[in-house]
Amino acid sequence: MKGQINIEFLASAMLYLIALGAVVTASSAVLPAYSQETQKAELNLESRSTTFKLLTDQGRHSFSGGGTNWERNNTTRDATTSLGITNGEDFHLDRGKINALRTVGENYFNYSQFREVVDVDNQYKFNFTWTPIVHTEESFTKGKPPTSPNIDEPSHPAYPSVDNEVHYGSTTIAGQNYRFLVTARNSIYNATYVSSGWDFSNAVPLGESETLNVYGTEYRITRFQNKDDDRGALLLLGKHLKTFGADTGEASTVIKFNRYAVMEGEPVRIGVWTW
Amino acid sequence: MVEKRKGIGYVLEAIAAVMTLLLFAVGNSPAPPAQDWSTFQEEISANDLGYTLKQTGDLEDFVRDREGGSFQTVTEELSSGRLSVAGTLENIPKDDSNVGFHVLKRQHHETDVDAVSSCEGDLADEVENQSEIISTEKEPPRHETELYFAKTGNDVAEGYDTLYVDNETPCQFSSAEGPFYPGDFFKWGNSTNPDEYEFYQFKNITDTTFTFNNATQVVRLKKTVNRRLNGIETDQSFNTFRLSDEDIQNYDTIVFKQSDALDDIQNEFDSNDNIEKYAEDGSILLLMNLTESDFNSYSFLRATGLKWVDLDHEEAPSGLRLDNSQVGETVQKYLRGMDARASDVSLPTGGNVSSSNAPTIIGDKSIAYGQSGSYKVTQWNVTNFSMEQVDPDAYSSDAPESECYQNSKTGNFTLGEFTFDTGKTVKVLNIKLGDTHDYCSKNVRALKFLENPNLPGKEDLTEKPYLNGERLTVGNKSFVARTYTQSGNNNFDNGEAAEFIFTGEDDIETVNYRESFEGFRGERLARLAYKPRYSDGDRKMIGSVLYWLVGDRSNFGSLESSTTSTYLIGGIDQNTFMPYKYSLRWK
Repeated sequence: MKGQINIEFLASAMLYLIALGAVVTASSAVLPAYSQETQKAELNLESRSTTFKLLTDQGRHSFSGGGTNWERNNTTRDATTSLGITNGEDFHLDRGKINALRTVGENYFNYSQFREVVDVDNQYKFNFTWTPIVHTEESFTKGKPPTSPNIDEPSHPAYPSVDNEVHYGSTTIAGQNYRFLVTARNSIYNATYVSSGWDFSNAVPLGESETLNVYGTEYRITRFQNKDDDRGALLLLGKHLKTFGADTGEASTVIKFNRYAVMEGEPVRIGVWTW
Repeated sequence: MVEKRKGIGYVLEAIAAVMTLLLFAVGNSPAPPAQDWSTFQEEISANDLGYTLKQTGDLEDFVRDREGGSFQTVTEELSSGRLSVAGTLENIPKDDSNVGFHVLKRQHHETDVDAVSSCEGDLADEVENQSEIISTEKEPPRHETELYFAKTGNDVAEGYDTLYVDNETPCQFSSAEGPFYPGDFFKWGNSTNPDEYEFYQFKNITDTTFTFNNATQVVRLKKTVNRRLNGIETDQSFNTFRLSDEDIQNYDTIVFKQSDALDDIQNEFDSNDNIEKYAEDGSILLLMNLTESDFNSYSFLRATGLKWVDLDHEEAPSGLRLDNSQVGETVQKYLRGMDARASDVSLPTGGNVSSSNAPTIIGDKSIAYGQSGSYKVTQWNVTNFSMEQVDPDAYSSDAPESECYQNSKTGNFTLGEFTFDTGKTVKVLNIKLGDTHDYCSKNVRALKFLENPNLPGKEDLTEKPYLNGERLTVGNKSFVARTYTQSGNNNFDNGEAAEFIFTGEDDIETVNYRESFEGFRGERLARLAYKPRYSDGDRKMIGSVLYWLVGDRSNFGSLESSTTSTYLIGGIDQNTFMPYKYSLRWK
């Protein structure tokens, strides 16, 4: 008696099973990668467009005829129809609007409101850091300060042992002028003396990561300029303004990049996390 | 029926087999490369950061004070170390170039120094004992002032290292009187009258000899050039040198003053390749009044490509007008950045010198001309007003065909000699053209060279006839062919007159330049007239030319590779006549 199953059937069935296995294998390799790339694309593109809107718009509220000062009070914040944090000029931030942001809280524009108004699909966190730049390109030889401005050198015991070339400059912080001397040891600029005038007699040296107190607000000395050609010509301060948004937690794909804008004539770094 | 089912089965199996193979292939092929989102993010950050620094005014400060290092520090700190930047600043003169001024032998001095008899004063505090003080006391005092030298043991040099100028009070020195170190410029003299003091450069001091170079003009030029240009720092380092004593390859620009320097240059040019090697990367400024004899005597000068214009002046030159060539506009930009105008400059031409940047001798590209003044260019016209009738049959192979000279019509076929400054006297036919007798009445003529007025290797002008108004080049001069029918009271209907009219500009150059040379490789040279004392406007003009010579691209930072490029343009203090451009590479 002949078998029901012939050799051609067996061969075809084997071919079919092998083909099926190949399809499953290929899909399991390609599909997750494809899915992850799609997610990254979505996160990056949405993050860019969301932050661009924030940095180029003042925002709007609909209370009592509407306006751009959505941050003014609870009523305007609750009536916010579009969110922006500029002062009317693209990439120029309004400190009041940033101050009005808070992740949780009833008297602030909170994260839940953010997600509702901005209508985003993903989670966000923003970190605002104000980074004033102090230019100290002028210099004098230690012991021979200039007469214009009339600089009184520090009396601090550390001062006599610094290198001969001392840089100086000034900047305005919170509406107040501050003067800076920048000193070096072994050709590395690493300390600054700060005063509200050009008399540094009572000033103490501050190094990187130390803080400068201005009317109760602390500014960190973040970096001295020690690259060639213009060592000592600049120092950077840093002041964390605000962290706003959700916690990244255990999210598997988090993208992070920085955007930059201006506030009160100084740069602001905005760290943006999206997941 | 069974055969049909079997046949269909075979087909289905074949299809399944092919599909299986295809699926294997697809399954094993790699997925396409993923999008590099980090580059996308960097581009956003780089553009934001560049724009922000421009808005805060910090970028302008970096340009103004030439702080490429500060730009890098700010970028790294603000990006939390994620971004580094390198780049090029364009359209602004390079700063910190090394400019060397040649001095003649008579401007280089060595004078004896000896131990002092006594020097109780400021210097006594600097040294351990008085034997470490020497001075020029035993020599006749130059400018009624002595110089003192001490070994102060600082790090500048071993041995004697500091110079003090003793004005009025022996061994008492104010801060303006020292200390000066080798390489410094100092004023020798105790008067404020410019005729009673000079500046010198301190070159060297030993136990017995003090070496120094004249530097009064250099110091005055330094003060002008090192002022900010449109608010932008443009510090250049100035030095004096003798060709025999220093390696000029260390300089970015070298300046030769006075035509007396041509002897030194020529000696160097003849004896070694230092000048040629230097010119490949460095630039040269000649502050010299030149004569035709200089061009005949110095092959270096001829090799630069500058030409002597052997013409009288139709009108004497005066004033200064900047050309609208690219280089002329660049120099004008710098002059404006120094708050000066062409009308502030009182430089003479310093000789009939042509930059000769065009193919022919007086071209239309220069830096500056006299505001008024012109060459008598008609002197270079080559004429013959007494051409004579000849038999056309004798020149049948050279002349173009024409009915007009058939049957020996008088005046329609003439011959004359023309002498060009290539040194050749050549025969030229003057032929009336026309294919009908009626057309001949229009008196259309052409000139045909029977011999080439050009030197071998140059264009052969015998190849074609030249119609009235057609251009041609003989040697380094450009001409227009001109035949006459009637001129004033003379009747030139008979082909007596023909002329080659020089077509170059008749403007007289005041500032010459070259961007390539005829006798050696190189990129930049300029010439201005020499004056013993330049006015402030003159120095600004020299400074503007010097800025062009040093170049306008400065690099800062270095990155092995970069992922993003951006550029930023702007003007300091909103001035748009001198825009800067930052071409940036980020990583």
